[in-house]
Amino acid sequence: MILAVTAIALLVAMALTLARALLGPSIFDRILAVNTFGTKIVLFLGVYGFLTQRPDFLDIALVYALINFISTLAVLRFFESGQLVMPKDKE
Amino acid sequence: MKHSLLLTALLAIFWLALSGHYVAFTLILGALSIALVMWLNWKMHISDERVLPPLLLLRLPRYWMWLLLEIIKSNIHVAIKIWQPRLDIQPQFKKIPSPWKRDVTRVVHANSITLTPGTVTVTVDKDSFLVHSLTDETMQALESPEMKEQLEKLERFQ
Amino acid sequence: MWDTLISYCSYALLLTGSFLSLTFAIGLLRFPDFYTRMHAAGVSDTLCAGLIVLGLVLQAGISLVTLKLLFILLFLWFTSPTASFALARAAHRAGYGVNEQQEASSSNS
Repeated sequence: MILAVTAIALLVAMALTLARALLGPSIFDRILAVNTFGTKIVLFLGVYGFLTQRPDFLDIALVYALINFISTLAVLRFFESGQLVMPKDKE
Repeated sequence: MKHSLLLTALLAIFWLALSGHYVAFTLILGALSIALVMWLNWKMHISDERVLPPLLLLRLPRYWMWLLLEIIKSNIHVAIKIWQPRLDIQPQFKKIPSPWKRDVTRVVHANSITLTPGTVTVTVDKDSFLVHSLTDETMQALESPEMKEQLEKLERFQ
Repeated sequence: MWDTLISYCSYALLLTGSFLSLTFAIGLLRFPDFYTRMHAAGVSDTLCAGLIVLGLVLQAGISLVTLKLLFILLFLWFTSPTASFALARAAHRAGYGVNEQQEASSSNS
């Protein structure tokens, strides 16, 4: 029961976050919204795993947490330099 | 070398804890992925004492306890600000001194500022950070002598 | 007796976490400019994740599941400041300075 309430609260929060991602206005607002949306998904996956008694969802949540982090960095790097691979002589 | 061995052991424990299936196939996969990670580490030159001094690991948990209290306090502060009908915020930029010699201490300092809601590290320079703060109070918490004291202890433990 | 106490603790943690996640989402919509929205996101990434995961840990008891939950929490807490910092630095470099911010906050209030 409480788990279901938590899951619904997370879904509502995700919807509001998505609204911010759609509203923008800048690209950074959108990236911020998508990044926090990812954090919410990780939490939702965990709660959902408990709700359906299937702990396998935790593995997906674990992988999602890492991919979310790396994708945020990759997108940021892409918008900063226009390319994914940095020139080697940066240091 | 000692450091690499420690890291290999940690990775092995991590894999065994997460996999939960102890048959030959998964164990071989685990060994392969640990080898891959260690090779990447070696290629990036990030596997040595400078990155994570072992003594620091003993000190960090106590620092985390202190940080957790700070995070809870400022979380409540920011949550109240969000629910207030009239927005009562004073967004501001400020330079915060960070005179630490070790890179690890500076990383911990910058990350602690970002982890605490209401303050975000925007840029990192040699001996100072540019910090953005939501209200006057969150900025004051950053400049408190308490935070400096905690970080000084971390610096000494390396 | 003991079990009931633990499950009530877990419910309290989960509900507080859900409330905080809603709080953050409203803050994200309400705050006037990018940097202040970032602070709202900070609420969700730290305490909200911690409360919900700890609530789940109390339900799971001591097992492999608990270990996985703690790893999820550890990853979230280690990666979120790095991602936030990268985002803030990128915005600062792109010229999101003090002036725009003051304009945005005065026009919204």
